[in-house]
Amino acid sequence: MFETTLKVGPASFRIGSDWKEPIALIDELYAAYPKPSLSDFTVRMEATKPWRRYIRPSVQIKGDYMLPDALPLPLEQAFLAAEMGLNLQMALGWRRHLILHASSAEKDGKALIMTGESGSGKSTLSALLGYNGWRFMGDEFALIDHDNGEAVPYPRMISLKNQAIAAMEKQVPNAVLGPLIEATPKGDIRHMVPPIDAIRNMEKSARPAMLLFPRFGHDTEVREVLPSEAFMRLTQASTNYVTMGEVGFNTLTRFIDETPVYAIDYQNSEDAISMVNELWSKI
Amino acid sequence: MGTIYYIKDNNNVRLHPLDYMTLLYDRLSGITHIVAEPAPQIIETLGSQALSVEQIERELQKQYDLKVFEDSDDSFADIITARLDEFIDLGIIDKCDEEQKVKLT
Repeated sequence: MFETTLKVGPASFRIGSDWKEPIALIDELYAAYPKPSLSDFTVRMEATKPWRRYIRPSVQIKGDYMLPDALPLPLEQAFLAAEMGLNLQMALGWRRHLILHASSAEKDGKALIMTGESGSGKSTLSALLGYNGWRFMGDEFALIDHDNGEAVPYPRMISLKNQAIAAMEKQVPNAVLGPLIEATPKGDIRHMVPPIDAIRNMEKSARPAMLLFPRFGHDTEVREVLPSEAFMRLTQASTNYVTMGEVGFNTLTRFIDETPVYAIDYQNSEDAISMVNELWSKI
Repeated sequence: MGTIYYIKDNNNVRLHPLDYMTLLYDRLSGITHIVAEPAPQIIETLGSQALSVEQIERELQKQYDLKVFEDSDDSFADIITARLDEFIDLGIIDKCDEEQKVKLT
């Protein structure tokens, strides 16, 4: 089996594969990330049957945490399979922080957290902020420290979907991109290496100073969100709130008590960026 | 003798007010409930005591301006009883006859 290791934020992974190519691609895209000697989680890309290594190669994602009914993916989508495997380990296995399914970015030593459903634009917005005066912290998981309430970066590969791919290629012409993966269950996907300062500073946490619920494709609007609504939405956005028990309750109530919350609706990313900066200037 | 209500394990119920809603964390089940008035006030009033609906109402009246919606047929005692029954379903509160409680203690 071919293998590599990588560290994203506080989490270390060992990744194995029956094929050489996916490991080579991971090493290429994650070249700037540390290679730890110990790992928190293992992810493996295995052939569904021995002969499926060669004939119509098909990748089954295995690891410490697995979804029993996960469908195998064709070898061309192996990188996506690996990314899904990494996410799954974090979502199901990580206990050292409260995990919010959210993107985050840092400015002036303070963190902005953005959460919303798939297609809300949270991933694209965090990436764009990362090229517009902010430090990108992560596009998938915001990790909240149980002890001090700070947001800990998790700057994995940025997952661009559908029209966000072309939009980002235009805005960031020198971006390092993975292969275009077409016709996945979420449409076309292309991964982008985060800005280098995000990777270099991935140990630097920041106190959350604002929580946003962005929503793409609606008339421009900003509204304040009540703490109770925000709390309820964050329990749904957290993959480990229930598992963490009272520790999770303490961390989330502290986060809600200390963080102002807004919902923003927007038609295009330029509007969203200026809305974010406008709100940020008032905190 | 009437029915009295008590929190099963008062040390394991935490209230955290947010806005017009309050979080209630139940350590025994690990479940977070989001509750509105007068549910958290009922929990606070009960504390470690066992009280009847009438006693709870009297205690609440001392602290709050109790009102029911104008178009409602329910009395405040009905509203308190309904919330108590919900807490019983959630496993947070239990009830017994006053006589039975006296015998137990």
